[in-house]
Amino acid sequence: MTEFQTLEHVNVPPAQTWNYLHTNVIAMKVPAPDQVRAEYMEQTSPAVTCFAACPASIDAVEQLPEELLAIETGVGDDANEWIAASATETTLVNVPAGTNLERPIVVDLSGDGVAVAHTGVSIGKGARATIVVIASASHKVETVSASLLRVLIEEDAHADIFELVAMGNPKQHIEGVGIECRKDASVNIQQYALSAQTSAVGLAANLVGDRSSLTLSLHYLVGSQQTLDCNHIVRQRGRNTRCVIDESGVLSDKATKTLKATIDLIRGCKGSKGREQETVVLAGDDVVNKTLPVILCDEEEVQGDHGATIGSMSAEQLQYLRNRGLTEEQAEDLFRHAVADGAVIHAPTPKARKVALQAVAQIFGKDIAEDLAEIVQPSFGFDE
Amino acid sequence: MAEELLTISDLTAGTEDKTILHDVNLTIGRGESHVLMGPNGTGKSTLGHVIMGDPVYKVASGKIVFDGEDITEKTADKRSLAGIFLSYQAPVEVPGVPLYTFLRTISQMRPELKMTPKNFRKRVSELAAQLSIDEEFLGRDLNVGFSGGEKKKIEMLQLLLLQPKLAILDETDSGLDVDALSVVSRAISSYMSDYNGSILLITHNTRILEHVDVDKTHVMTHGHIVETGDASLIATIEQQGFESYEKEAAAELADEAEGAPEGADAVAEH
Ligand SMILES: Nc1ncnc2c1ncn2[C@@H]1O[C@H](COP(=O)(O)OP(=O)(O)O)[C@@H](O)[C@H]1O
Ligand SMILES: [Mg+2]
Repeated sequence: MTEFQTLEHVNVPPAQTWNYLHTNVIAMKVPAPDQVRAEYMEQTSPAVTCFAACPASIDAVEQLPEELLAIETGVGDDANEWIAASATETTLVNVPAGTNLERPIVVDLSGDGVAVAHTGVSIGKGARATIVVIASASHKVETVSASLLRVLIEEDAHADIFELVAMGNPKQHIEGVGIECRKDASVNIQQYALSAQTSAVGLAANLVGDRSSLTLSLHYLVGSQQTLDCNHIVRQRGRNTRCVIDESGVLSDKATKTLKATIDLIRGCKGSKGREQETVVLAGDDVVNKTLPVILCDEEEVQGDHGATIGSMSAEQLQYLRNRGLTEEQAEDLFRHAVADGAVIHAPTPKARKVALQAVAQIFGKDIAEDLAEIVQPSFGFDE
Repeated sequence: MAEELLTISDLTAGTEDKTILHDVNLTIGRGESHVLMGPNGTGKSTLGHVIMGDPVYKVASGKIVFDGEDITEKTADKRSLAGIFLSYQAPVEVPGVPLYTFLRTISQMRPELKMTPKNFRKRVSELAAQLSIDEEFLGRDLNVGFSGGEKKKIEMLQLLLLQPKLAILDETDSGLDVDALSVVSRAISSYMSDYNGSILLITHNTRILEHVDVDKTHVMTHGHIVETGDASLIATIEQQGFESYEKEAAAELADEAEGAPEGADAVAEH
């Protein structure tokens, strides 16, 4: 018998909304940590890998170093603690200063047995690395899987992060990320949430260093009875930092989506700019769509913008698509396909591409996936 | 004259509260190229959008027949599938939709363009090469962050992919540098010669007309077609501008208006 516990407060937005706490967090029912570890420690292949000659060190550890553990994540303490306690694999990756990793570091939660991964990546001064997180449904976990990724990006370093959640029904997934950017560091994150019965995607980034920057895009597809809860927090502390967040997606059938997006312009971050914008297509009368955009501002010489959330296609967009032969319904369908296609187009590794194509097959049918596989050339030039 | 493809008769149309087009008559034969010229704000783009079926505009009277069928009441998607293509003066950005997905979807709407994925990819690659579009664009979101010239090339890519019977090209040439202009004009010529395409080219720039053989030229002022002629009319307009037509139109308007004072056009002359 599996013993369960409930994580009451996952994806907690910053404190000022404490009085809305209960509507602003998601609760998730998960197995107790010792059960996860007992059942899934017998893994056959490690979750975190890189290519053979990779100059980065990848080590299984008991606990991540304090410097990484201190990084705030978007999923919040309840989930942080549960993941740290139940992690079937805790991995520390060090990318030496000045190196440019030619292939991604991959956190793969689709192998048999790996249910919960806790990963810390430290990217040294001036280094560049791509990190891929793949959460798909092929492992045996019936209840939940989770990835918690903490990334420290040192001076002048750059990280590209690609996350793909394609769990299929009836799985649950917690996708947590915490990032810290030092001086002149930059990070680009692409998140694809294609399917899961319930998923919590929480990302927090601290732009600590002057001139550090972040671009973040979330693409989601939520259908049938699925729930997506997303929490984006970007804290701009350094001077002249930049943050651009674009969230977009399609809700259909009885889907529920909550998006919390917070840009926190902290005292002292003079000259910083933050912008956030969401475009959501509501393709169904029974969908539930909640968006809670917040800009916290404690500094005068800054610029923070929330583009109004666009609740559907604009009249001009719709007319343009009509002029090319699509009805309104077909235009909505185009947007749904587009989200999944984007994951295939931008997939940085063969495995990510394969999982994205499997998700397309599951959502839209095998023919469509085969068609897409023929048409869209891989964006990478290597085999795994 | 070639077999009639588009026939617009006595068309009066505009927005809810303003008539923009007055009694427009225009016939385009299959395989012909027509140029529509006129000062800014006279209704050229509006005519293009009304032919395409943009619901922003209401047809008050008159009718539009395309390929033997009265399409006045048809929605834009049906007109598109029937073979009308409108290239926008300012193509719309559609974040979230990769160009590939868009192109595949719009070509799959048309049974006559049914292609295997392999052939589709080949076709799109060929067109991209022909139009000097980097294939990397195909993975980008439709028109998002594209320059003016890139957007117009993407319009031409769609034109050549869809091979419509009639293309309305609204200022496709405006704002292009020399290289982009030559790519775009070659695309238009190839559309006409390879697919027996017909065009209604809206422009106020005569440079593009050096690359396209023009069958007919129309001049529009204040929502009226005030003159129709052959290609030589373009040279006349280049020399004289639209002024004389504007005066004529003003005089006509004055005549039309009931009880208008006799001196109305004299006032306009000063
Ligand atoms: N959707 C609209 N709503 C209100 N006025 C419009 C609209 N479209 C066009 N107009 C007006 O109709 C006139 C003709 O516009 P347009 O067709 O764009 O001219 P052209 O393309 O010849 O420059 C202009 O005065 C313009 O402001
Ligand atoms: Mg115009």
